[in-house]
Amino acid sequence: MRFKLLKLLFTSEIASDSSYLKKIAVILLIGLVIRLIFMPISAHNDFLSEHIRAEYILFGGNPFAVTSQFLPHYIDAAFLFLSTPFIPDHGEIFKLPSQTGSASTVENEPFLRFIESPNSYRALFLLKLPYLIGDFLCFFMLLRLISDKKHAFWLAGFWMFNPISIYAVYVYGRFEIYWALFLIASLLFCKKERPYLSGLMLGFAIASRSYLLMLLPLFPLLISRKWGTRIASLALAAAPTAAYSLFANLLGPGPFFYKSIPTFNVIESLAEGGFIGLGLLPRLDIGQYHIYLLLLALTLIYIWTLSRKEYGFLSVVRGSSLIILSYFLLAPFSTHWFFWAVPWLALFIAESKESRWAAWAIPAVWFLHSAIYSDWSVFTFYLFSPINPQYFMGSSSLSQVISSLTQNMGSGVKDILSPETLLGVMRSILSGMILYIILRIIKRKPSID
Amino acid sequence: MFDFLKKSPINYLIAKFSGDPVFTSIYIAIIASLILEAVIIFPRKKDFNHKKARAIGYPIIALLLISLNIAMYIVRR
Repeated sequence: MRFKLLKLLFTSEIASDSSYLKKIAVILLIGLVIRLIFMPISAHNDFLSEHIRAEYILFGGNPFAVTSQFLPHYIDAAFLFLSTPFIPDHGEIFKLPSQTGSASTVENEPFLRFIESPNSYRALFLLKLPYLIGDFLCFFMLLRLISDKKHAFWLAGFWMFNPISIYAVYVYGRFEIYWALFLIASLLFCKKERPYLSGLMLGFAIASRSYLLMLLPLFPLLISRKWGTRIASLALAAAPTAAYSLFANLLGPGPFFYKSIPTFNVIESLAEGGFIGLGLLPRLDIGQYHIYLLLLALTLIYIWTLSRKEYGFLSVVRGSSLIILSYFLLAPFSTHWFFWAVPWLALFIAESKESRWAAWAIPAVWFLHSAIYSDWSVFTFYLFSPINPQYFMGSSSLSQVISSLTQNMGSGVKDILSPETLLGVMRSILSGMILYIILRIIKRKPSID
Repeated sequence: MFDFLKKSPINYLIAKFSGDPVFTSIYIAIIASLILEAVIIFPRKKDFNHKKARAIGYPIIALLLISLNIAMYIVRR
């Protein structure tokens, strides 16, 4: 009786064991406490930028205020509408920028104004609530993919306690959870052999985070051996982004956002600083030719997965995880992007008994890598500026601390301990561990149960 | 009396939480209840008296909230 609600959310194998449910409930509750602690006290500029765009959709008179990744903006706009009565100085917090200049990214000054407003903690907490709801839905759907209790236990622990999710969604405040929600729903439908719904959910995931375009067309090609089903699910996966682009073009680009771009162009918005631009950076130069390493890896993955002629849920998981992990093996990425690998690492942990340690060690190496990387981007201190803007915005990054410690040492030691070298070292270890997981996925016969 | 707080980096955090007592009370109540359930009530064996534990635990949380509100009032003044 005590776990009646929880029992509804799990597979019958898990729901039948009360003591096991109790363990899962404790994982859930502790995970929830950790998330709640971070919700009101940290955020990145991107969080405010995205909500100002949502504000613009709601109150700025431009319903097509965003180009790519439109779906999270509309979900957040709906939630912003619901939370408006509970945020007293709402108008001041989400003050729309002037009509000239770009508002695609909010800079430090409006961000400071936001965090110094009296109700900023409340606003941060309320506007991260949909992320929390999405996170828990992801958790329950992931457990629906697994029927073995031990495997489900490992998956639950990884999903709830890995620092990458907590950082990307609650500390950084990025809308990463929405694509994860739709992607996991897509996998769930794929497991239940509903290829059209699976394709449509993948479409919603792509409309939430454009990097998932990398999964096209492999994901739909692996859904079924029938060509008709494959083409239909591919069309459904492309439909949401295509439909939005069409409407946005027909009704005209917004009066303010991206007004310099005459027509709506998803690829253009992703090339510079997006995953396409960064994905093309790792390359071999041979004379006047370039060999793009990520494309080389993707070609190998396509040939290998399609030549096996295995279709369905397990093949989709294997092919998709190889693509995403290859990206992190080779390409540079923003710190929070690493969340893209989390659902695949969680499924890997559930599947692979012997290599769980590797998937657990990856977040630790990612943490060190990102802490050093913070010289060029934002990682640790600045994100906690809502706790004390003066203190946290003025703090040194890890690489600055290392530089100051090695100031009086010889040039050889300085070179070895320079942020660039340390970053390269951590990146090499991270890539090595990802390569190990890729090789395990290729070697093992997948058996997620 | 509160000089040490004024010098500490968490003075801003305390001032911000005290400035929004409604949100802070709800926020602390949720976290305290979850900790009570996750650490004290859920992990116990079947013979543990859950009703009694809750009957003791929740009034303690209520007392904590009352004290917290008094402290926030003092900080705001």
